[in-house]
Amino acid sequence: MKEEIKNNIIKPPFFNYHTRKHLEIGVSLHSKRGFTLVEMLMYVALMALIIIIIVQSMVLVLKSNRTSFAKINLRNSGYSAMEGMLREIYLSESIDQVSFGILQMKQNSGVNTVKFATSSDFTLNFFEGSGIPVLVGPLTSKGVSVKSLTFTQINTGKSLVVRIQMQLQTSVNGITDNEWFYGTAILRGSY
Amino acid sequence: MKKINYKKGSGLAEILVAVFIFSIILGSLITASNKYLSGAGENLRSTQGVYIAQEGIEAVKIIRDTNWDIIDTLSDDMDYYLYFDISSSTNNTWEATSTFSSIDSIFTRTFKLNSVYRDSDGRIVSSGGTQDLNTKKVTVSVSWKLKTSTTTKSLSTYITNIM
Repeated sequence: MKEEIKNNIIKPPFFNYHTRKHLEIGVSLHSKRGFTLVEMLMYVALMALIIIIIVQSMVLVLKSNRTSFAKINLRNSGYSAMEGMLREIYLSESIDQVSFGILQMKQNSGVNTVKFATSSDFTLNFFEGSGIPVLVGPLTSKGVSVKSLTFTQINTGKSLVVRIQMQLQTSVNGITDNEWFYGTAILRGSY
Repeated sequence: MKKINYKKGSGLAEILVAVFIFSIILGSLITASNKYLSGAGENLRSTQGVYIAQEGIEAVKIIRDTNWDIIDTLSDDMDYYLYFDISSSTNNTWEATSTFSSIDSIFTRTFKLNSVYRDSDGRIVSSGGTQDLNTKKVTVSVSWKLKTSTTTKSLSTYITNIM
């Protein structure tokens, strides 16, 4: 009984096969030459090339991401600022004050006063009210600054016109971008 | 021996497959971010372009308000540019010119005028009818280049002579 088990454990066909195989691999590994210097250099060069390509493309992707964010910021602030200003100009009747960064107009038969002004932190604010206009809110978002804002008055003889030239600037993690927005609107109430 | 051969050759094949997969992933990543970037740029340009086109319409109305005779002297169906005259002795104003001008070397804005014809009920008709000398159709076109493609947006309206 004991010998049978011993025989079964020690001498199954796969055990012998396995030993043989293991022995064969061991022998073959010992006989392998290993890497030559040229092979090593090629592998290292290839590895370096792949790493450079990966890093470069990651940098490119991240940079274009930031550039996109900057452009989206500029677009959104430009849109809200221009829409806000042009709309109020269309609704106005007369101009109280027009200079660099400040535009004040009268609406609703002179009862309502609207005002656009850039603040010290370079946001464009909208003011409205009867008598002295009070702050309603900003038209440009945080992170976007008004770099330049010029209002120019045009008098056609029949109507009053305001021309807007606005430059917005934004910075997203080291990417600085600025864009110009232009608009001209006739005060519909001035005819 | 078969197994040993397989093991020996796997190094280069694995690297090739890995490089292939990597390049596909990186390629698609770069393409996607490029699309994203050009989309954001195009969005910004079209927003600016819309205000420039609106400004063009307003500028023609300013010329109309100033003097209808200026509108009368402009030829039909011809492209004119607009420039802001700050040297004018009378006032700052928009003026029409046939000399090319661009806005920040990005946008090109032109406008053209067309005669308007009305039927006996005073309705504007595209053919026939009699010409209304006190009404013109204004079409403002703004075009800009982004990389290789050129985008053009147009706005049109009618202007009438305010006596």
